[in-house]
Amino acid sequence: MKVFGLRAADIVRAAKGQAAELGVRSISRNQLTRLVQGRAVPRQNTILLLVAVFRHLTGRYILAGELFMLEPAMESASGGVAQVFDSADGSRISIPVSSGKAQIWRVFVPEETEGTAGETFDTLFVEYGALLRAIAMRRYSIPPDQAEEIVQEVFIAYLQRHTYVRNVRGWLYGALRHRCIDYLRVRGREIPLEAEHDPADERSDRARDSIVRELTFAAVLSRLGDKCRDTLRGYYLGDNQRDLAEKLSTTPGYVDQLISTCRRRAAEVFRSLGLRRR
Amino acid sequence: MMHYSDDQFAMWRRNQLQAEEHSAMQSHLSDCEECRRMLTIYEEMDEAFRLQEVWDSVALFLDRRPPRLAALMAEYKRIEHENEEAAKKLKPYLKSPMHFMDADFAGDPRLHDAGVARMLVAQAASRHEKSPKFALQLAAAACTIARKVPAQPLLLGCALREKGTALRFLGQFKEAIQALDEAEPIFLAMPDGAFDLAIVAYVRSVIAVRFAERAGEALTLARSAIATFREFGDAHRELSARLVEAEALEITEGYRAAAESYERVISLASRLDRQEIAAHAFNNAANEYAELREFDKAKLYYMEALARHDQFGNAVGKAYPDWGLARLLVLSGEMEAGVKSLETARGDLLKLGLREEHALATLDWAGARLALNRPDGVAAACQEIVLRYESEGATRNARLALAYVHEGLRQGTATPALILQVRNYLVQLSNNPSVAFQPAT
Repeated sequence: MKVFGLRAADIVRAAKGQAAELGVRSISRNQLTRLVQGRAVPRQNTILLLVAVFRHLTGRYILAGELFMLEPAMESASGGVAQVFDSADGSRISIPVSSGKAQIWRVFVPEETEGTAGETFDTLFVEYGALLRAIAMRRYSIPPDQAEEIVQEVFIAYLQRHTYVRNVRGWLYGALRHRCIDYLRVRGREIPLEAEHDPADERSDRARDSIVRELTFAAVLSRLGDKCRDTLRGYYLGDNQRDLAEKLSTTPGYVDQLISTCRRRAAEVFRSLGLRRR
Repeated sequence: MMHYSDDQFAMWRRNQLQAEEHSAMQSHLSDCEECRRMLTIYEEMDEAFRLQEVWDSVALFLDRRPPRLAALMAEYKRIEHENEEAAKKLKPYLKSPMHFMDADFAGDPRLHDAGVARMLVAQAASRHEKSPKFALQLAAAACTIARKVPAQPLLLGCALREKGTALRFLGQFKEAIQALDEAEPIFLAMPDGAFDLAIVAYVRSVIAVRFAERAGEALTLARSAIATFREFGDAHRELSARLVEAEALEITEGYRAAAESYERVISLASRLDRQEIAAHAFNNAANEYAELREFDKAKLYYMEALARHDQFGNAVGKAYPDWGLARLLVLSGEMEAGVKSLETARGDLLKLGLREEHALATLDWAGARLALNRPDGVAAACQEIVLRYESEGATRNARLALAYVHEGLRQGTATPALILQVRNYLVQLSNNPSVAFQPAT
């Protein structure tokens, strides 16, 4: 609030108008104070409402993540206990409930493009292994069990080389490709042709493997919340704004906000996956 | 730096911004790597999300719990534990090369494990440039241990490769190649050996490019390494291999091909924000364009190199484009200004201890002075030139070539052409150490 130069009274007043428009309950002065002081945890609708209020009062395109510390559910990776539900921006968020301290909503921080040595190994395997397995299956038509086996071997090969591999994700992908080609060669199967590759030309890099590209974006979509996925599917596959609003049970105006937020989240996830052209 | 949002990109693409805002954004995009990257991501994303196939594949990722995570984590923890134990065992020996000699790597069975070999290989790799002798000690010890650890061929291959690299830094090329020859079949036999083989190919290319007659081999090796590093997403190693490629191209295909190759290095180094490498590549590209007599381009590139070195306060780096710009003045006919700048440049090079470069700059200056018919001081300056090469034969040949200059200056018969010929001979001498100087008749 201080950053935006807003007073609690202004926020509560504006919230009444916005709440009516969004079809959610408004917020009292007392509730707002408790939220600011970290004594209460905001619910989905409260986040939605406050984002709309801040946008309304400041005229700036403020995102939920700028007001609240948000983190999507990483249930398989974190191993921690978390309450998971859809947030205002359509992404899945979690509140760690095992902590005895005040509950803090942490921002999901995307990783750098290239994997780093400090990256948690299990996170890498959980997140990137799925993409590699899908590439083995789709790009090289390797059966699921064998694809799983190959990905496992590639990760073990990486562990043995981790002291000198600089781009973990790039290395894993390169090693997977070699393993898959060996697999097909040994079985006398046809190896998928790859486009002529001019190493000096970035465009040929981009066009080289459309399946990998498609799978990477499919992986991105899988890591968004259901609401974001549904919003983007409707938006990209031809729903008009009114139909989409109806499907999502919301207003056409809010659909625009959702699209924008979900695209931004997708871009963040894409960067975190790291399998992209230089 | 402020960055634009997706919404602003969208408005920009749809030409919905005011003319002023549009051009401000255009100008920001040309300067801001981050915004360009985000714009590309959004464009690629828009294209991909319109494909039904992409949506059909989402299901492949929704069940993301990997069935083999436990086994893999056990392996990860085992290797981590091995490394930690090895680090503890090696700590007292890694303080200095003297301490290292206290360790009995051949006889102490406590040190005979994969973790110790792995850590020694990593330590060697980190010290090649600054302490190649210590790196060699470390790599040799890693080889000793790797031969004692059963069923770990990768470790032996890596240890041999580091040994070869250390020997390369020490100029012991024959021994380096022997070590690489031993490493190569080990990697060849491994299913994931392609990347390791590319590192071997890169080291071989660095050795081969030092000898003019092996420039073609260096080029082939560098290119094969580039392709593999690119495939494995290792842009930093790719950059190193591209520098070798450019060097080899100058010998095999001439200045233009080399200049274009350095331009590729500039582009990649800039993308990776390796500004110091970009600065060197700008300087080298400028040298090539100077030889091609494309002075405007050469000047532009020298200035780029200068600005980048200046940014990092790299005095040694700055001395090269300063010298290049001075030489450019002479080559483009601005003799008076060129002589003056070369005088400053050769003084700076000497102060920085760049002996070989000082010798060449002195010859540039001497040639220009003779061209202006002002030979005073030239003989004395050329007498100050001291050259020492890695091989005795090259040092002897350099002295012989310089003797022609001294003799010509003593007798008053030295010409700018003779001095230029000796200069160009000295430039090539490292690559052709056994070729003696033959004055043009």
